[in-house]
Amino acid sequence: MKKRAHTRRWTALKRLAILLALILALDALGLYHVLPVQAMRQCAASAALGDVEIVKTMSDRRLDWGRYYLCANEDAVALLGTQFHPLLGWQRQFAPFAPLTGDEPVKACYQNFNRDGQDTSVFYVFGRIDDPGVKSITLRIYWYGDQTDVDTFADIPGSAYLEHGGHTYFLADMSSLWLQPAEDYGNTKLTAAGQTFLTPYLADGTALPEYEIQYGSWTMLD
Amino acid sequence: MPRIPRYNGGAEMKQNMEHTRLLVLSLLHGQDMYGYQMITELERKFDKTFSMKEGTLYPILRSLENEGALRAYTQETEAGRVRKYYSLTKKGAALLAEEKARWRRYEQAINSVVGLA
Amino acid sequence: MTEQFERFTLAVCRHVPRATGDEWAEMKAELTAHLEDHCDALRLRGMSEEAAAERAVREMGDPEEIGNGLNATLSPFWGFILRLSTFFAVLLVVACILPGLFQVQILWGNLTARFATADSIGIRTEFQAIASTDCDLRIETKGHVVRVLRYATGTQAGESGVSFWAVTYAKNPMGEGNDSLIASLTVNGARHTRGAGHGSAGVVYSTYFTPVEPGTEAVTLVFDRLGDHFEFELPLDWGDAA
Repeated sequence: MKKRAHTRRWTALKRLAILLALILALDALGLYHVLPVQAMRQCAASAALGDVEIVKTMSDRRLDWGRYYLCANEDAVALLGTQFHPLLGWQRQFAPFAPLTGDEPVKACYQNFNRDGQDTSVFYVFGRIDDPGVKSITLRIYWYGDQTDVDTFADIPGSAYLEHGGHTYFLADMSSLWLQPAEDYGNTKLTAAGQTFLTPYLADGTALPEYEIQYGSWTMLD
Repeated sequence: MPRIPRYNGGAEMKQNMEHTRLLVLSLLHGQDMYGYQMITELERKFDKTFSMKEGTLYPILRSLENEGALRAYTQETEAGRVRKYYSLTKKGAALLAEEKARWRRYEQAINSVVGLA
Repeated sequence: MTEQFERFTLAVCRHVPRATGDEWAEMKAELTAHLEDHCDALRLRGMSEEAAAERAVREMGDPEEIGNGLNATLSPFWGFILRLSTFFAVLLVVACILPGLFQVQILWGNLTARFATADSIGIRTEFQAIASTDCDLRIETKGHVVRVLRYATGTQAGESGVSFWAVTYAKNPMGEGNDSLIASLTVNGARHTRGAGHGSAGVVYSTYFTPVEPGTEAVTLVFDRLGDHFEFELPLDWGDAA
């Protein structure tokens, strides 16, 4: 019986085709996401958010250059995180979200990434402005200290706001609010109370009542 | 029929390799063959004046295969020996025509110098 | 004869470093077949086996020259692609074994959840039931399903109240369950005080207890999450404790 003998080039191309077919098959089975947006959709599904639209995409070198999506639908605004691994493809990482129910003029939540072995935290705040009169937002974090309790304040920068689908969203890196080290302010230890407050401001500078925002639900999915 | 000299390296080896390519392509134009069969066929056609180091045929065959001029397959004989056969592809047939034309030009040039034209 | 041919092919092999194992095996087979054919032809002419083998090897030529020639026909670029593709394909399969098993676990959990009953949930708590009612209240929300399979009146840690048993799973059989969904159920607007549960990646089984005054005739089980609202009126049986 005849058996075809192949050149090195043919064999290499065949192996490469097998590798690509394997990746696509694993992708179809949900075991290896070729695209970050696939992992993002898996995030949204796992967090029971329903179908979401992408408002903004970003990367952050402090978070190992994963791909992060500010997403929203009519019920929630979420920050969905994905990370690439060469052997596992794009993996879902976290899915904090803020419900868009309630009467607050601004719906928001925050996500704090404590990095193992790192001095700084990465702290993001995101949400949607539902009161069209609100033009700026200030954040306050309350810290318990063994000597003195401390508040840190910061404005959400103008660059953090973006328009999408008739709404104004924001996604802000507010890591400067996160105090390190604890020896500041005469304390030997500072603990984040887990209390983060938001004050919306109208165009004429009038402050609306301050209220607390929550840590995003469904953080690390692994 | 010119005697094909033994390989002794350098420009002569290169020229001999090119001639061997033409010979291989011509042989395979008629039928599929395996390596040893090509050697014996060449010896027969050259009336035993042909001599080349037989093993050096194989890099030439592989090179032609890489170029797409030849296609190879293995086949088991009745005695259980597996032989690798080579057949000429369309690209190989075109290459043969080119090599033949080149050989004719070379032959004419030699003949005109030597005075055989 | 075989030994001579082996020595010759080995000498050629030393000069074909680019060849993979399979490629060299193919080359070696071809060269060996040639030597055997030549040897057979010489023996037919009356030569001894040893002499024929020696001559066949000699007329093959310089092993180094042959090896270098064969090596030159092997493209380093395609060799790199060949090795890299094989390496990554193997690594990928191995790396996906655990996620694959995890996915099978999800699928199994999801499929068994669809046929779960209150008795099959198997959660142990301190709850002492007075009267149980089996049901199958179904909530579909954001690609997930919550099924309340049983509710009961009773006591837990000395308090009277209502417990319910529920299971949740994704509509997509390959999707993960979400344990916050059952936790979103409230009884008469009050969040549960104690819960217990178990599950795997594909399914979550939970039971929650909410204090309720004994004798209460009915409670309203409410699911309210991200715009999805469900209410179920649950009549209560307190038995003799009412």
